[in-house]
Amino acid sequence: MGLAHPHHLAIVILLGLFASCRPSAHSQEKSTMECSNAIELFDHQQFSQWHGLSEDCTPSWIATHAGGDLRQANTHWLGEKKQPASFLGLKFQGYDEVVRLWFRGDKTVILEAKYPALKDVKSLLAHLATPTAKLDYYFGVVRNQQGEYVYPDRGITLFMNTGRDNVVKIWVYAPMDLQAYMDEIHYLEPPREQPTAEE
Amino acid sequence: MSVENPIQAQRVQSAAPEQGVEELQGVSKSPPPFQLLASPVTPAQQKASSQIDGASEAHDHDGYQELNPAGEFPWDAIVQLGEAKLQKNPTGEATEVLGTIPNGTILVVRAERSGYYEVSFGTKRGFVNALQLQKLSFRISKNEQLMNVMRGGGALKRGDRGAGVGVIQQLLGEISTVIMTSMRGTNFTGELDLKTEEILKAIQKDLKIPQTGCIDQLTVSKLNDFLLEKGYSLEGLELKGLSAVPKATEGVEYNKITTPATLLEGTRKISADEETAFKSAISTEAKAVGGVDPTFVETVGDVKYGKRIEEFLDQYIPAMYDRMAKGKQALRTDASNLHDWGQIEEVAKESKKATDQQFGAYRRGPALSSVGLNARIKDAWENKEKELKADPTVADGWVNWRVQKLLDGHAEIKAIDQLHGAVQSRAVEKGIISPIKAKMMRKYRKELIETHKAWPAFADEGNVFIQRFKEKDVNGNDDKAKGRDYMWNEFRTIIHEYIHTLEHTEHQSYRGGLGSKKGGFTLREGTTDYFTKIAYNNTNKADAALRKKIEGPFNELGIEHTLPNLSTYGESQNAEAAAGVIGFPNMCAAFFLGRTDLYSHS
Repeated sequence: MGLAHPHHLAIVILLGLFASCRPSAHSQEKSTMECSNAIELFDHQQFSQWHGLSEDCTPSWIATHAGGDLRQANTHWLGEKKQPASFLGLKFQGYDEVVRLWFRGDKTVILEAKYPALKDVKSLLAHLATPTAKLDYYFGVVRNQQGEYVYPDRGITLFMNTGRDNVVKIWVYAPMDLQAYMDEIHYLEPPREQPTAEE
Repeated sequence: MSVENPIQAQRVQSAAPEQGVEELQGVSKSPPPFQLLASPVTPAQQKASSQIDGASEAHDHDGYQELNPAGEFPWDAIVQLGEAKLQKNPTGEATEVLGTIPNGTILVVRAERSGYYEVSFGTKRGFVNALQLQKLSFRISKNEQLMNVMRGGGALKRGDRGAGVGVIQQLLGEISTVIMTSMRGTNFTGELDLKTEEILKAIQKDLKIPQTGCIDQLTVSKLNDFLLEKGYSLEGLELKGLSAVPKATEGVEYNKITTPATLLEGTRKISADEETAFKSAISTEAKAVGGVDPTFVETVGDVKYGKRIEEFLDQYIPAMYDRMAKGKQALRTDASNLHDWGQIEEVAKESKKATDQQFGAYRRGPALSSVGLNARIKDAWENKEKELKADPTVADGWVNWRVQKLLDGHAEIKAIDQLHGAVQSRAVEKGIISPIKAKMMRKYRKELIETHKAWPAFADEGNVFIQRFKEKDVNGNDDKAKGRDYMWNEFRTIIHEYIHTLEHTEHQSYRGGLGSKKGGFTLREGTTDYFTKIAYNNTNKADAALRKKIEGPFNELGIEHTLPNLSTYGESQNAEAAAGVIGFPNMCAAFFLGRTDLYSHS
């Protein structure tokens, strides 16, 4: 039996169209590999080779990988535009502290690791070369001037201590330009101390 | 004996930074060389009053003494029944009289002791018999037109206009929904028109006072009492008829399309005048008298400005260390000295319940957790220790922060600034302050570092940090009364933080663009704290089951226990005053539903 019936022909054409809209098995595999590789580099703190989270390194993929549940996420905000963002605490092998996955909808915004205990900060700084921008950030109540080393095209930001020889926090994200980083991610807000009866 | 400045009420707003508080201050009737701040509390007084007001001495008696509401300081009051004596001690027996305070003076009350209120008048601090002070609602006390009426400056009659008339119209509208349904539909014109006059007469009849149709002293006084008697229940959902509205889906905010119409009941478009009054109410910008910066007077009463500042810091910093931080480091070595995370988790659940009870129709979110990977309630001391370990030089910043915060915002420093007409950012004053600050940072470095680690609570990057130290009694056992205080304080703190998570994103964007002192801080912290008070004060704290849940291992049924006083942002007063202008439904719709258009006339 052929596909002489016009309806059958239409179905075949539509199937063909759908097929052409889907990513190939190869490209899907490649994306997952990229994400998997990126997360492995993150887990092992191999940031000198870091080139950003891949676009399809989605929140659900990362959460699943780390055994987290996106439904447990809370909301805050990020970026100079103060856009709301969800965050989820995850456990990664290479970190003592809880790692935060920040996301908006199905887009990962950043992976944040506090006190990463990097082994060779000097070498990492040399590898990453000159930051695109050095911004201010708050380390607790203290404003660390120009201590936020931003490498937006490599999708990494290092928050340096005062002596610039230790990294107190690290962010990784998809590569972007500096303006997008400022708008969507950069966070410059001191803590809010609660008033006491004596104030 | 007289005091330096007879006081006439005038609202002066703080130039303090982010956590700056707004004070109602007394100023001289004649153009003053400087203004005087009302009632800062010294550490010694704080200690003394906490022993009276707090639970530490109250748990020896049977039966609950005072459950609801908890004491909440500071608040505004007006002197009535003639001149009031400012006494050195809170006693009816012979005590030194520091001065007399004229009838009609507005004061800020900081604490209560044995039937006396602790206040400041001019440069003197003391106590006034509570019977001579009438407590004021912030809706009333923050409005100059109404305060003028309260001080006997003349009634407002038909044809009069102003923000005070607007506040009364708003209040009449709200009261009408409670006691006189047929009187709904008040015109919010800001003018005492015929309709307002009719409604006033009807309300006056209900209040059993002369039906003048005017906004006179007695009427304002009675409406003020009505507001205070209602506490924050006037704003409660029960009275707004929203209790029947289904709770919002957890974690989801409504938008303009999905918002149920019921949630917008009672909201209204405000006028241009009301918008101006609203902006003024939420602003915390310093306003110099007559628009002119004060003249700096270095020596007042034979005492130099710098000497006053230094003496205060020299006394306050070590006292603050003693109260907050002394001996705390040693307690960290034994986990039994710390409150249990599990109990704090229980408190957090109750905080969410109390908040959802009031505001759950608008929005609900997940409870703040203190356990697991997604814990948002964390240990403040531990956090600071980690910071210090990662970057030891951060301690320099802490020391600077602690001293600067006192200089920026402490009530006593502001009083000294007012007294001398000082503006710390000006070159002359800066030249005096800077070396004092440096000296204090050197002298008390260790104490300031430990105090910073022991600071009671703060929020950062979506987390809430609290101290977990238990307090011990004289026998070295857990002090149960203080344990109860701790849990109730956490209950309030977590309500506040939970409400932060319910703020609509459109509202966040709106107030983010305002600038901190132009209302941004009020709409963030002030409104959150105002709503916190509503949730906290409408919780039935006499409920034994609730007390057991919140107090956990410290609960002792049958033991008298006065709840701890609330510590609130001064900006909550601004938010409350703003609600008096545009109405509580507008405030809620803007904050929870993103209807920030209800802040504006256009």
